[in-house]
Amino acid sequence: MNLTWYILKKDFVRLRLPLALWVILMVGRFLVGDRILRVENSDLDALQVTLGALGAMHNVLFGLQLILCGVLVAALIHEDSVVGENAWWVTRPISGARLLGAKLVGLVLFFWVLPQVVSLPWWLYSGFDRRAIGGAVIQLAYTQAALSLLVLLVAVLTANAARFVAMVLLLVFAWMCCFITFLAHSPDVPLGVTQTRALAGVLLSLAVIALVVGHQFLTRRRGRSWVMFSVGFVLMLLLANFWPWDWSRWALWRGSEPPTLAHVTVAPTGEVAFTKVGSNLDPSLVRMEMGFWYVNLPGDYSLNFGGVTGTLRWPDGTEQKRTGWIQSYPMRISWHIMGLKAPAGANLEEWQKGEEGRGEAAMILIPRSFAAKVRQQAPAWTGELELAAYHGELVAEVPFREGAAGGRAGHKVRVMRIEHLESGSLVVNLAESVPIPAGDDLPIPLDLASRRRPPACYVLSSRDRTKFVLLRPYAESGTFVNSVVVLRSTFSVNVGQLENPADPHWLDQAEVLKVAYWSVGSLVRPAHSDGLHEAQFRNGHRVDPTTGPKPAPGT
Amino acid sequence: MNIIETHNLTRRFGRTEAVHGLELAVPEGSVFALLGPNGAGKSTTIKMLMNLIAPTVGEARVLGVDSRQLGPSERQQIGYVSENQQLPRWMTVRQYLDYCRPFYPAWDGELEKTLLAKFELPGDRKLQHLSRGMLMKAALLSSLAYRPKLLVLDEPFSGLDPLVRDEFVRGILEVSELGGWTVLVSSHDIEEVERLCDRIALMDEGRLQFAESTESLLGRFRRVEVTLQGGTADLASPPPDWLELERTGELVRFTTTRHEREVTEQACRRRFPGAAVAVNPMTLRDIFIVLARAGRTAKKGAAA
Repeated sequence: MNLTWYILKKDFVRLRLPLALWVILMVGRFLVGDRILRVENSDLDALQVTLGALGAMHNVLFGLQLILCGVLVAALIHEDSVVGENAWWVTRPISGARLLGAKLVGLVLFFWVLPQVVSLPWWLYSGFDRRAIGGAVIQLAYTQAALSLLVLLVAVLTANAARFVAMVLLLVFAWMCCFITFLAHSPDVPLGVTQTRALAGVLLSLAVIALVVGHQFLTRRRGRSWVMFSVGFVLMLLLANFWPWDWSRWALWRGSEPPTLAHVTVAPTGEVAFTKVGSNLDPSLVRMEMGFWYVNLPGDYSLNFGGVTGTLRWPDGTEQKRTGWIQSYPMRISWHIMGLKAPAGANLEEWQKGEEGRGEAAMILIPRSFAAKVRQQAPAWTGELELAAYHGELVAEVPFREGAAGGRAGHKVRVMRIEHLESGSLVVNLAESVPIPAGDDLPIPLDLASRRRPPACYVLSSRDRTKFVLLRPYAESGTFVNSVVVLRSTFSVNVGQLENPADPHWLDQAEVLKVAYWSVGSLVRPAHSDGLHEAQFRNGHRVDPTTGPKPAPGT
Repeated sequence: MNIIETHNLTRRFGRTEAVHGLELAVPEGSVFALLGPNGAGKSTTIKMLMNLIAPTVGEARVLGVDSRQLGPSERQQIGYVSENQQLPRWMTVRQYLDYCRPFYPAWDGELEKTLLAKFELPGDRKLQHLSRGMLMKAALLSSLAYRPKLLVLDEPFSGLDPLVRDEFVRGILEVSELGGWTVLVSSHDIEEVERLCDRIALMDEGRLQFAESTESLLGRFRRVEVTLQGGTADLASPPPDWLELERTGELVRFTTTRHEREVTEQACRRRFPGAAVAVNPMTLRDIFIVLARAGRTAKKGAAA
């Protein structure tokens, strides 16, 4: 073990200066992130420009940090190259296993532990609690693991930095060629199959990396390592494109279904709308938006980010099985706020009518010919929706005045600017730091380095909780700084509807409330519609299919 | 006892056979030279002995262990210096020695100091700032300080200017006086090898031509000059051990590879009656050149 530490110490001495530069880049990102939270400008347009510049500066630092991290991982391996016959260690009493152990410990300490230690003050400064720090640690570990393991794989097969760069470019080019080739022939694949493919791809990648790295360190027979790598690459391509089975139910732990959502059902509105698919390579496809409602969904929960699989059946017996995804409209104001804060007797139903009178939409790509057929003859649709469940939590109650700040559970909200417009509306600018939930919905997130911040909604509320008005975002500048979302959002608020001659100064006592939604599991629900009709035009505008008649609760 | 033995050791790179059926034995305590022109297969042989590449056929035993199984315990008894070895050039000489030390339980600190002084190596200078000769000395020092049983030097003199080469050889000679090790050195630098080695093997085109003691080799090769003095000369069907036989007027020259004074004199009297015979000793360099030319001539003859 002592000798392993000697090797590690040598590597640290060798890499200490670039490691220090790497840490400086990271700290630089924290400083830029803090600047994003603090910058002020009375002109909101100028503020957006400044925020854009700061965001770009952060992205440059982040890009440099990623590149330097890759270079450092490769340098750690090339310091004692496992390719060729001229490496110093090969003729010394150092076994391949010992060297591999030293390099893996170095990898963990330098590229997984060090960034966590450097980030900890930043997370604490951002107001993260234990749960938020846990999520940040996992998220950063995933990012670093994904990058360093891929670099490790290429580094053990190359002798020096020049060959490493050439090999990376070659592999990226090969991957792009394969990706484009297969994308052009991409069939309609159910979500579960896609998820199974992704998970299997991750597991296969880890197996190939372990096999190639271990083999190369222990034997230094590069030819055989290349064969393993190539076989793995081909298997990955085959798996990513031709794996036919949906094992997602068994392979992925999605979190159990919350008992409070046991009675939730899904009711299609029966209306569909067709939109052209802008970026799709196949012009013969159109997007069918199918509206539906969630029934019996408690106000403090939200269902979102899901997949849909179903079959269209026409009266003439024609069938078309298609898959799609759930359109995620922004989280709407939640009863949860009022459940927590509203005094007895508040007219919640009345308020909810205005804000939640809208369902969701499933997006399904179908051939144009079938779209025409839907218009001619209303088909029945039977299918299944798979939905991620979120629970709302009140994370900030901040007095509605410039400079006021507050928050909990890792969320920090500061009111930066309030501008009264002549129209009677308000423009509000908020600065926020928000934790990224990582690994809370899946033990192995398929996107490995999940960069999805939790959905949230914002409400302006009177102190006595008798008046609520939704803050509607119209400009947002968000940057991810080592698991902290640094956010500057501008909202418009129409307070005219809440003006009350008896209480003209209610705004002076108002608060900004923020509800964040945390992933709590997932649901799978069957759904059926006897006939899908295209939504009609009213007043020259196509009717949103999600505003169809709402079924009564309890159905 | 042999510290290195090879049996039918063969290495092919595609269709090219770099080493063919090598049978070699390096006795313990010897300073053994592997000689041959560029491309003879010397470095490939050493790489197989050090398990840097695997043999295609055959086997090599080093310190009694199959070369493919050489582990840390055997490496602790082997010193290896090569012109191509990648040293951690960012380290100073002292850092380099400090780094090497823990890997060798038998590291001799006193010997390290002695060698450092003898080689006149600046401890605080980075390896990348050392001259090539100094760098080789540093590599040699790091391979000697633990008193290895076997010291392997792969083309240690190439690229060194004569002065540095001399210093380097003197360094090896000085430490060889300390005794107790076997040295295997591959080189095409014959003069330096002649100063160092007590046994020599010659390789050409991947094949071993011979392997014997330097004394025996220098003893059996002689350059013979025969002045006919008007007598006759029988140059037909010369013995196979007569190489480069040529006549220029009254002068006949050849090299005998099996010189024994009486035998050579008798053969000369029989073929060149009344002639004056002068038998001259040869240097290793002369022997090497004669053998290389003879090899080429034989190859041309075979091709024709």
